Amino acid sequence: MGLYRCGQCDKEVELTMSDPIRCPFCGFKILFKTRQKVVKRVKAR
Amino acid sequence: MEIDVLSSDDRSLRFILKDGNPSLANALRRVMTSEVPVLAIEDVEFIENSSSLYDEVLAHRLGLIPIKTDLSVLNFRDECKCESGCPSCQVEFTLKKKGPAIVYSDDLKSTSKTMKPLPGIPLVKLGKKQAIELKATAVLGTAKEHAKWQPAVVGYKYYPRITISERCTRCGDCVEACPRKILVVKKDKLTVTDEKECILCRACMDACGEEAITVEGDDKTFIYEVESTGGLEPIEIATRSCDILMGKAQELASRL
Repeated sequence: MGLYRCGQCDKEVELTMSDPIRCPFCGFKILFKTRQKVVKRVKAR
Repeated sequence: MEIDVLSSDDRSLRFILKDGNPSLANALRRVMTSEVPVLAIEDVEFIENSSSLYDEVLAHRLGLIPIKTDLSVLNFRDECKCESGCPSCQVEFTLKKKGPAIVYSDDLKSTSKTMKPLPGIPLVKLGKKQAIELKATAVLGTAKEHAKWQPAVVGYKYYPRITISERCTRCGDCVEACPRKILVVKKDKLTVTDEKECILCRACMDACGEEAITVEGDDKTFIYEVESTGGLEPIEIATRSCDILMGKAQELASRL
């Protein structure tokens, strides 16, 4: 499961494991994974 | 041992060390560059980063910003009495900015009044709809572990001893050859204006047909140049390095 953004219509798409990789609104097959709203810890090195 | 300060300001220091020896001179240089502690950002928490740089790249850039350090109030984090971070072992910063803008080191807001990052260092350019929000933690460290904790660049040279013999014909070939322009023929005599400026390149020796001029480095006298990154005053770096070197010598003596 994850949040994606459609490469054509720019709508937010939520997909589960069983869903085909396809935008349900426009049928476009290229989706971009969006950044999750969690705090990311990084070492400054 | 004697020390003569040639010039000193808030970013650089030049001094002469007399009656030393090469091994001590190099030990002092190495302690100044890699054993004197200074603040640097170590941990970064990203709340938002939609800039063109990856979190890791931005964190690395943050780590390299020099931070004005007050060593009298700070401990190393792993030697501090506290469990996990307190004002006497770490300094926290917050950064929050929305594009379009350029993010500078000035945008880091410090929890300390005195310990702030050096201003005017660009970090990343934000476009429209891009934003950064993060929390950074700076801790003391030494450059033995990572170069971001290096407080200064230090170099030294042997004190140049220039001797001009009786064979000199005042031909002026050495005056032409000297890249630092420290040789002049004045009143029918070849003189050195400022031997401290000599870089021991020996171009004058090669140019002289009479072998009348010799340049040698004095391995008991050294000219140091300390250039601070801005975190600590160069004078403090030099004095701290002496304390650290002394501490090491005492530890060796006590363990023998």
